[in-house]
Amino acid sequence: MTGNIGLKDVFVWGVDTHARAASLRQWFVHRKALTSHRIPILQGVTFNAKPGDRIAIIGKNGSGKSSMLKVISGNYPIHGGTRSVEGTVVPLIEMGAGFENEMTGRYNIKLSYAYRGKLQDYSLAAEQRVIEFSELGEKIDRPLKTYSSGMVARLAFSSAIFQDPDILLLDEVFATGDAGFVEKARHTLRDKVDKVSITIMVSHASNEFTDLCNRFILMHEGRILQEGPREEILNRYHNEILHLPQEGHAA
Amino acid sequence: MSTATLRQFGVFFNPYYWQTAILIARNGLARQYRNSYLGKLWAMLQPFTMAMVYTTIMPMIMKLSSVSNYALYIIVSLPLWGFFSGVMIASSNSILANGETLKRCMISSTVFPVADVLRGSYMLGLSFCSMYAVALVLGYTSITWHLLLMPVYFLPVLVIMLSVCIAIAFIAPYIRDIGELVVMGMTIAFWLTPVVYTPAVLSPNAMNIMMWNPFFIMIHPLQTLAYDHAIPDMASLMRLLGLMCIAIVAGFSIFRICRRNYVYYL
Repeated sequence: MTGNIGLKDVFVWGVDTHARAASLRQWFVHRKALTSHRIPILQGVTFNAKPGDRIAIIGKNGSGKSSMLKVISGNYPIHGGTRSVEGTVVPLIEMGAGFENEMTGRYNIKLSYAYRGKLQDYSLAAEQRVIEFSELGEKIDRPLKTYSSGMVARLAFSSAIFQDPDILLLDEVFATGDAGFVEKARHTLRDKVDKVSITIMVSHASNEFTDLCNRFILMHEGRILQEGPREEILNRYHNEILHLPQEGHAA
Repeated sequence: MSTATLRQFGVFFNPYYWQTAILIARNGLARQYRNSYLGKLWAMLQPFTMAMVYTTIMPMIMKLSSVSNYALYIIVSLPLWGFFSGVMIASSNSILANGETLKRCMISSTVFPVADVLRGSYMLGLSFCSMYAVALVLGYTSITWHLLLMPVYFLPVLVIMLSVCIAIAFIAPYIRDIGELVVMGMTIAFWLTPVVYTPAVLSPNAMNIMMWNPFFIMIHPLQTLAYDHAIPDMASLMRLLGLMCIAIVAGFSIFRICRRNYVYYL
């Protein structure tokens, strides 16, 4: 098994573009001092992953979970610290991004390969595998705008799942559609997690796939608060972050 | 050049990169003409209408009586200007419009402005060929072997526009006004470039200044081939190749500066 991830003291800042534009306008018109428009996203994150790790990152919205995945995948450059990633990375982050409504489902399969930078893996056989898995049948040649949201989700999941990376990044990936398809998708995703070297998934703790994980990390306001056993992390998440009653949530 | 720089530049030699750009360009075309009755026919109708308007009005307000075959001059020039203007305006929104995809997918960010330029080139080919065919039917021109050189002289123009559009696309997240600035700049440049008037109406001094107009440097050799049915002189070719080198260096430098943090400005 190959794959390695090392983040050391990583800092990432976002930009409040509205505040920046307003500040520039104020400076230009009224000669007021420019104000900072930086938003901290990750603040001194240190994290390592080795082959065999199945990591669940838990935290509420805006805690920096998805940003950490984007740093690992290389979509977000870092502003401080060091980042090293060895192995091929596949981020399954909001599947179906870039789908084109005017084009057919078949065309969108090819497009999804292109958007993942994997056009070299596209073939008619690969396309057929996606069509069969999505159970879209002859509807695959209709424009995407005629699909129901469930059909789009099926196509997005099916287009993304047939990849064999060293590092798999899952961000709230759930298959939707009819019960039969959801069950098949869950089974395939579990198989995939078993096969890849490193899996990192982002969760609000309600994700059923966290039972596949062997490491649990709690994030809050761009920092890693704690790494530890599942029960301990979920308890702290519910008590300190969400301020919920203790019983029942760690089951 | 560092290894990272070579890697960034290397994507342009990857056939899958160009296949991806073509796929995205096709999306753009489908989106542009969705639910349109006439579809791509608009690519011909719009410049054709403009050509008729200019052919009628311009000789009335400018001393163009000495220009022979003014209609052909317009038919050659307007689609080319439409290409410059269209791709530069489109590129100011290339990265901004695809921000969410770029944040989530493992795709080269330059592919979106490149796709816009490819889409513009396709539209140029369509409008130029159809309008030239109309000019042939109406007896304004004839087919000569000079037309075969059009793709050869268009290649440096394409490289220049690719470089410029990548630069504009990557400046746009930092300076959102760039789209409006490009529109304004192209409106001014339209009247500063011999598109609806010929260089013959310019004074010698104005012509000396015109030699430094980048749009003139790009458009003039193509006008010479398709309108004058002559081979552009060596000086024109040298200026075009020089402009291409400057555009590559400037475009790539802007891309390198802007690409690092652009994603946070989307």
